[in-house]
Amino acid sequence: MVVGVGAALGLVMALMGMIGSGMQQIIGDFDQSGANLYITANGAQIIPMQHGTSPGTIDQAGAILSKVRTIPGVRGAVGVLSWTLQRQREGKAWRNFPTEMIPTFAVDGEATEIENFVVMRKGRWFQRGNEVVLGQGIAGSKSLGLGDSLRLNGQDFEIVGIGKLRTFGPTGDNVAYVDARALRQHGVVGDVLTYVAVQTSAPQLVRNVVSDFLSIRARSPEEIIDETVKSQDYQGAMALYWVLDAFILFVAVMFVSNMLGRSVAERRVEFGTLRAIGLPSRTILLSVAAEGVLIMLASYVFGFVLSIGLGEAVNAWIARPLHYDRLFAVDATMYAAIFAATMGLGIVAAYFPARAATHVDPLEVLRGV
Amino acid sequence: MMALEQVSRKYVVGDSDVWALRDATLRIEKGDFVTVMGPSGSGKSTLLQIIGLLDRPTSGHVSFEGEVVDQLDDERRARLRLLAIGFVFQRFHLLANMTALENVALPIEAAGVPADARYDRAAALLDEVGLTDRAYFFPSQLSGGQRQRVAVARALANDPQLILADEPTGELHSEDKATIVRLFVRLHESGRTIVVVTHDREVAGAAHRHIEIRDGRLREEPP
Repeated sequence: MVVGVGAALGLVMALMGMIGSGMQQIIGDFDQSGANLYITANGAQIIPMQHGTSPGTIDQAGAILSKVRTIPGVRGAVGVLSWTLQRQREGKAWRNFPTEMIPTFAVDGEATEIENFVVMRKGRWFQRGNEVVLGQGIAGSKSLGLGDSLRLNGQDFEIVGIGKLRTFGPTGDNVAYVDARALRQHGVVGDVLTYVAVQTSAPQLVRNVVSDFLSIRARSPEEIIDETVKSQDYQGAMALYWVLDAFILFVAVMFVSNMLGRSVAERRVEFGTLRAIGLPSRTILLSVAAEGVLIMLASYVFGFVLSIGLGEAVNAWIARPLHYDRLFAVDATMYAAIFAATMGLGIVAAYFPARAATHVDPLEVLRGV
Repeated sequence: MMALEQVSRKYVVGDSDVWALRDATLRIEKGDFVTVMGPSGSGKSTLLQIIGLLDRPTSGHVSFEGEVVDQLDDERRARLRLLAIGFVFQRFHLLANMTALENVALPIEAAGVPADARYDRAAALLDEVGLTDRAYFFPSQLSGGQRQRVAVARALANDPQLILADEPTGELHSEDKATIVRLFVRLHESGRTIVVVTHDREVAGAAHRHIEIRDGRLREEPP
């Protein structure tokens, strides 16, 4: 029983650890980045929660970026365009060979001007239009390294660094970073951006300027996280996880309750004897309830260990091959909440069997049942 | 100590009423050693269950130490059973997952005695029934006679005024039976009140009051 319920709890805790980890990485990156304002198109969702969610497009981006850079207090303003480029390999092109697309962030401006905005693992950030920096995920999956050449949309790029921009958690590890101006010169992209990251000592001043443009708005990282957490997509995803967790816990409770019920039924003579010799029904009730709580406690300990094991396995066998830092993280608050829920559910699971134990007729014992 | 006044007990079996006890009047005084005998189905166990506050009469009254107890609620009756009445069952009914010592200590714990005192008393009771060396044995490791002696020790746990035994030798071999009879005699000699339901003449021979029960009616045989 402990193994079965523990496995269910372990699954719940591992799942919650993975959800927590994703959010921690996003928040962690925002916390560490020096950018304290993000300018996006109105209605855009900068942290896409589901496929198909639009990060939006800022039109006339060059003019907006130039305007922002002139605002007093702005230390750095970097535009980023989320785009996809086609890779061409050397040699003969095979018929029916699928087109290889590379997700790309075209970066407009000196990204290194914003404190901690750039995270380099190898090499350096690009300085010229024919240089590219790869996220470690995409570099690993494409077996590309420093000094290699990468042909994108008919233009050759030299890989000068493995790293990322600190923006939205794991996404940054799985894109290529190129100079937006170079792409514009080649007519690959127009005068558009997805967002502008700004580091400024006068955020209100930037907000005031941005508010003059009807199509864009400026938000702090806290506002973005808050909006994300309150968004329908996020709430929906969380509700789905909670429904799944609640279902698993419900099945676990029903299982424990059913097993305790069977145990009580098998021990009718024992409970009848206890009633016959005068033990108060409260004592019997508490002893069965304690049994339920103990089972849930042991299951929790088993589940805790299992969730850590599962989480580490996910980190080792899934996250690392995909070049994510981690997909699972221990969240003390989540573990405490599930502990409290487990103990409460232990009492719920034991309640009906415990009541049944107190209602055993002691006369059955004397009748030699 | 215990008095039954015009006590009757009716069971409904199918469409018909079965009277297990009819107008039973009985007084059990402190220090009595009473045996209740009679053929199977005569109402012996029903009488013991009513005396032991496990069952309620259909009519009549049961008093214990001068207080009418047949209408008390279940918890107060359980409390009286715990503190004032000790039960010995034919099939011992020891808890299989507890040692002899723990079985004896169980009612003492329920009475609220602290752990040290509880186990000291349980050990003393096991000594009284000659099972000191079996204190940490589980019931499955004991013979039938030894299990019944543990059950007697458990019945004595809270030093009850009244000990009730339902066929206590029914499952025992003759040697064990003799040991249990000697134990009851010794308990009686130490001033305890004992009521035993039995078919066994040897047990009956040890008592000084004999009640015959037939078709739910009591008849006390002369000493």
